[in-house]
Amino acid sequence: MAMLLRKVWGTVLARAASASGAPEPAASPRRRHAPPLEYHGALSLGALDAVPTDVLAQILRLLGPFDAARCSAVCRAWRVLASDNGLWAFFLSLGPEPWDLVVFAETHLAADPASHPRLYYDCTPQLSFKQIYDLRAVVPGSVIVDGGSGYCKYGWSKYAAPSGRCATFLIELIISMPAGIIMQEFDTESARASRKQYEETLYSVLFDMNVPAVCAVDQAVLALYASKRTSGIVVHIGFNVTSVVPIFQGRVMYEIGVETVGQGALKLTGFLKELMQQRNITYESLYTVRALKEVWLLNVNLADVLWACIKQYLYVWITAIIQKWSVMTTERLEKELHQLLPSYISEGIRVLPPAFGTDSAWFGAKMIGNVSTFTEEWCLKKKQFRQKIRRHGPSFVNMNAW
Amino acid sequence: MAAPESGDGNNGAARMVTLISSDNTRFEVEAAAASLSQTLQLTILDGGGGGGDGIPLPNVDSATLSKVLEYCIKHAPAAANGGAPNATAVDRAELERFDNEFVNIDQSVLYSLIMAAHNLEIEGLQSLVAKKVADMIKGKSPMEIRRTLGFPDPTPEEQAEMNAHMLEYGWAYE
Repeated sequence: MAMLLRKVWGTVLARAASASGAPEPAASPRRRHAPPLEYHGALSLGALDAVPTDVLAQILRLLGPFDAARCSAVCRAWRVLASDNGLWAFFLSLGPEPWDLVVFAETHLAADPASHPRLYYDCTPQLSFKQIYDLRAVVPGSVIVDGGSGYCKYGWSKYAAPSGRCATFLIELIISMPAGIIMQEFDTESARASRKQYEETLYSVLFDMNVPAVCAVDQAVLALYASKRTSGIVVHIGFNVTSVVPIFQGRVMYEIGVETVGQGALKLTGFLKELMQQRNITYESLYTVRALKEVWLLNVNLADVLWACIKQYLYVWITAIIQKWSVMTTERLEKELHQLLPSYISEGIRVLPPAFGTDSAWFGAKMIGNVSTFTEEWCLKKKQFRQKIRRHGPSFVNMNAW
Repeated sequence: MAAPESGDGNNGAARMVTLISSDNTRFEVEAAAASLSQTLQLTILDGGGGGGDGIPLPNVDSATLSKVLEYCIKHAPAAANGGAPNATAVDRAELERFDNEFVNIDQSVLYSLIMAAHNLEIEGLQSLVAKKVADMIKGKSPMEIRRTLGFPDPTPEEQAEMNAHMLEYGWAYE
């Protein structure tokens, strides 16, 4: 584990250094309060006094976020002008991240939904996009490690995509961790304890490496976030195991049960290989087989697994996200589900393909890593960790309260 | 002046219209050029501005109007081609060169151009001058912006506010 992380740090630091010499901005604990707008008092725009405001707004748009922020320091009148919500929404939409993901992250993930549950119909407060832009600009970058049982995807949160992946199944010791926690079949005491123990170990290993802050979120939850949902059922086809994870408002519902099928991508691939050999079909590499396995998966009766899960749920709104599946197969699954289930349950069920393919969890983590409140709401800092250990003994990590 | 009132045929002699600036100077231009202004276009379509009448523009003085018309005359042919899909690269380069030179003017003239372009709703000119102002501001510190725009020196109180704001938005000054 530690070895892998060091490796990741190394590549990231090297890349960050070559990209720009800019120092990482310090994270100042600022809140997302609405700025007090001062419309009164002497408002003068100097030579531009007579210019209509829509022309000024046009000028500010042309300026871009950096100069617009400077303009707002010029005087009060400019501050009012340059604090326009539409202007900053415009800048955010020009940014590196898709606008819809930014809005979803800021409305639903500004606070960890698992620790701040909200009602479904909660109205979202009016967002100040200037504040959000400002806070997002100073959110420090973070290393995202999506440790799958097969491949580990890692990268810098400010980059557009994972920097790389390495095959974790080659290093037998490191493997099996994140998928391992999901894999608990029942919400037994021992399962809970082992999850806790795993998280504690993860935290302490990382903090021993002088990582300033850590944010650990379940892979399935991240994949769900990447699809702009906080509740749903994630079907996670891992390398060694396939799991069906029910999630409600960002919280894995262990008490309802996480179903697992002992067949992951690895086994399926092997099975397919065999099948193909029987029929004298030649294959180039494992990757060809990987592409084919999606078709076969439906014969595992995954729909049955889902059914068992859904029976325990009476959500009207259930979303299933099929990781690593093509659109074609999700459509088939949706159809199958609707045939299988009584209409009062199947109504409203939608099967969504993973938003970012196999990297969905990584992109979900990237969304969280760039959210304006990331450092305050999501991260556990070294100091907090040590304090909690001291206060609660070694088994505090049930922060996420299951 | 002798242009037929019936106006906008597909061909024929270019129809002329007369514009009257705030200080009563008369400008005679082709209707096609004046029609770059959304405001004037309607009047011209209605057949106004021809003959001895002229269209009064009480918001625009003669110096500004002549400048505006210079722009319109230059851009009218391209606009008539519907955004000039068949314009050659040379034509476009020429227009760009003209635009760059056109806004290379004194600030006070620029501001009156902004106002005129806004009042007359000449889209191309509006974005051209807006871009010019943006270029004037770009990359400057708040203090430099104040100077560029001819603000008086900040009071101590204003200065403190500026400093606080600059501190808060530190990322914008890297």
